[in-house]
Amino acid sequence: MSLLSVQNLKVVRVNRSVVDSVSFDLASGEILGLIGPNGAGKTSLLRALIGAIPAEGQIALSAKPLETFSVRERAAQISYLQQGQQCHWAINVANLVGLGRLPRRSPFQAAGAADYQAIEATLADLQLTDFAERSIQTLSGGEKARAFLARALVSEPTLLLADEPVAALDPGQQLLVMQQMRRRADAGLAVIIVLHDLSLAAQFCDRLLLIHQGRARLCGEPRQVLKSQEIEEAYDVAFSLGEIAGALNVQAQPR
Amino acid sequence: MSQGLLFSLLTLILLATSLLSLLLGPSSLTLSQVLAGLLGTGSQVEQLIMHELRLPRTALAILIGGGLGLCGAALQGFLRNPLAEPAIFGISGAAALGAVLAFYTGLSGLFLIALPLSGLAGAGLAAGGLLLLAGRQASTLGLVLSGVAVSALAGALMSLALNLMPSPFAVYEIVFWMLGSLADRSTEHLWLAGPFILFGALLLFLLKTTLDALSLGEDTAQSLGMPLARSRLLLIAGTASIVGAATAVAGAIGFVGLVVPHLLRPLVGHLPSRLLPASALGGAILLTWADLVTRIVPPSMDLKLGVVTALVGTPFFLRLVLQLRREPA
Repeated sequence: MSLLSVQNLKVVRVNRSVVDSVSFDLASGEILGLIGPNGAGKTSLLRALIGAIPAEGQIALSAKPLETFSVRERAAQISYLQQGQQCHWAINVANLVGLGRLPRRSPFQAAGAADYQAIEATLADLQLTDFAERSIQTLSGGEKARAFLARALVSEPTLLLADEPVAALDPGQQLLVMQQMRRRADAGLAVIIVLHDLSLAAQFCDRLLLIHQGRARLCGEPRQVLKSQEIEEAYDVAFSLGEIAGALNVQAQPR
Repeated sequence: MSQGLLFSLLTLILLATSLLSLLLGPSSLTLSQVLAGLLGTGSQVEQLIMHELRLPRTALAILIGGGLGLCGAALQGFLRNPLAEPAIFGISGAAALGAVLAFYTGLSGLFLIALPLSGLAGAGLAAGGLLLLAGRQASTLGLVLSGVAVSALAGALMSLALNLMPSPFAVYEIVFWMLGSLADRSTEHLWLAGPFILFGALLLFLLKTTLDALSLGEDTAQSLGMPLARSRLLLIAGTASIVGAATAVAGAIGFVGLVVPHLLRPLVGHLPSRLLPASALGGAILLTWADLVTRIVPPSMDLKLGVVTALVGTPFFLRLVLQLRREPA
C-alpha cells in the first residue's frame, strides 16, 4: 500500500498554474527523484505538500486525507529540507538539529530525554558527533549539508521532502548524503528528492518523476525515463546514456 | 557560560541596580530610611519619597527597559534581521505624535496622564493601521514596508504639528519630552504603562518556539508546524503594546532594543528563544543604569534618558562591530 497518494494536485500562483493536475503514489522505503528543468514547478510541488502554499487536489498520507492531520502531526510525519537551506544565527549543531524535534512535543514543553537521544543518535549517524558544540556557521559546505539533513531526519518522519540537498557539494559529500538517504529509505523512510544531477538520480532513485511546465510528463524506472523522448523535450537537450561499471551515465548535448 | 549561571547573574545585577536606584536621589536617604519608607514605617516624607517618586521611577525603568529589550530580541528573531529595533513598525513615532498632539491642543495641561493617554491612543491607531496594511497574508517584507509607511506618516504629521505650533516654548517642551525621561513619573504612570507592557511581554514570550524555528527560514518553520500568520499578529500586538506604553510614558528611548540583544546573543548560544528572557533582563539593567546617570549629573544639566542610552549603548555597539571585523561570520 502506498504511503503518499497525490491526486490532481494543482497550485495556482498569481493567476498562473505552476503545478497542474499532478498525480503520483509513493510507497514506504522508496526514493522518488523529482526531475525537470528550472522553473518546472518542482519546488512548488514540495511546498504544496508541506502546506506552505495553498493547493487544490487530494493528498493522502497513510490513506488518511492530509487535511485531517493536525498541524503538528503533519509536521512530525513530513520533513522538509528546503533548497539552499541556511541558518540565520550562529547556533551550535546540536541545537540546530534539535529544532527538528519541535513537532514531536507540545509548544511550551522543554526538550526531554527522548529528544536528546534522537539528536545524539542522528548526529552519530551522520558523523557529526564531533561538531555538536560547533557553531553551524563555522562548518564547511558538506558538513552543513549533513547537519541540515540531520535536522530533517531527527523527527523520525515517514516522508522526507528534500529540495536539491546535494547541489554545490563535492562528489564525495554528494555520495555521503545520498547513501544516507538510501540507508534511511531501506529502513522504511519514503523520500522525494529534487535532483539536477541525472546520473546521481539514476544511481539512487527507485523511480523518477519528470515535471515540465507544471505537469507530470513521465513517471517510471530511471532508465526508462532517462531514455525517453519526453525528457529531451523538457530540458531541450539531447541525452546520451552510457554505462560505466553497471552505473548509468547521462550526458547532455545540444539538440 | 552555562545558562543557569547567566540568568542568575543577570537577575543579581538587576536586583543590585534596582536597589541602587532606590537609594540614590536628590534627597539623600540612608539605607534604613529607604527601607522604612518602603515598608511604610518611616516618616511621612520618607514614605512619600519612596512610594510616590523612587519606587514608580525604578519600576518604570525596569518595565520599560525590559520591554524594549524583549521587543528588540523578538523583532530581530522574527525578521531575522540584526538591525531590527522596536521603532521599526512606526509605533513609537505614532505614540510620540499622539503626545505632541496633546501638547498642541493643550490637552496635556488638563490632567496628569492626559499626555501618556494620548500617546497610547496614537500607538493603538498605528497598530490598527499596520494590521490593515499588512493583514494576515503579508510577507515579512510587506510587514516591514508597512511599518516604514506608518513611521513616515507619523513623522510627517509630527513635523506639521511642530511647524504650526503657536508658541516656541511649546516646541522647546516637545523636543525635550521626545528625548525621553523618567523624571517626575508618578504611580499613575506606572499603573497606566505597566499592564500594557506586561501584556505585550506575555504575547512576545508566546513566540519563543516560532522564533527558533524561523532561524531556518519561513518555509522550514512552516514545515515544522509553526503558526506563522498567528505569530505575525502576536508580534505586532506585543510590540505595539510595549512600545506604545513605553513611548507614551517616557518619550522616545532608542538603542536599548537594538543593542541589548546583540550584546547578549553570544552568551545564550545565539538561540532566539533564550535571547528573549536574557534581553528583557539586560534591557531592564541598561535602562535603570541610564536613569541613574541622569540623576547623578547635576540637575542644572538636565541630561535626558534617551541621550544617555544612546551614549552608553554606542561604545558597546562599536566594540561589537570591531569584533565582527576581526572575525568575519
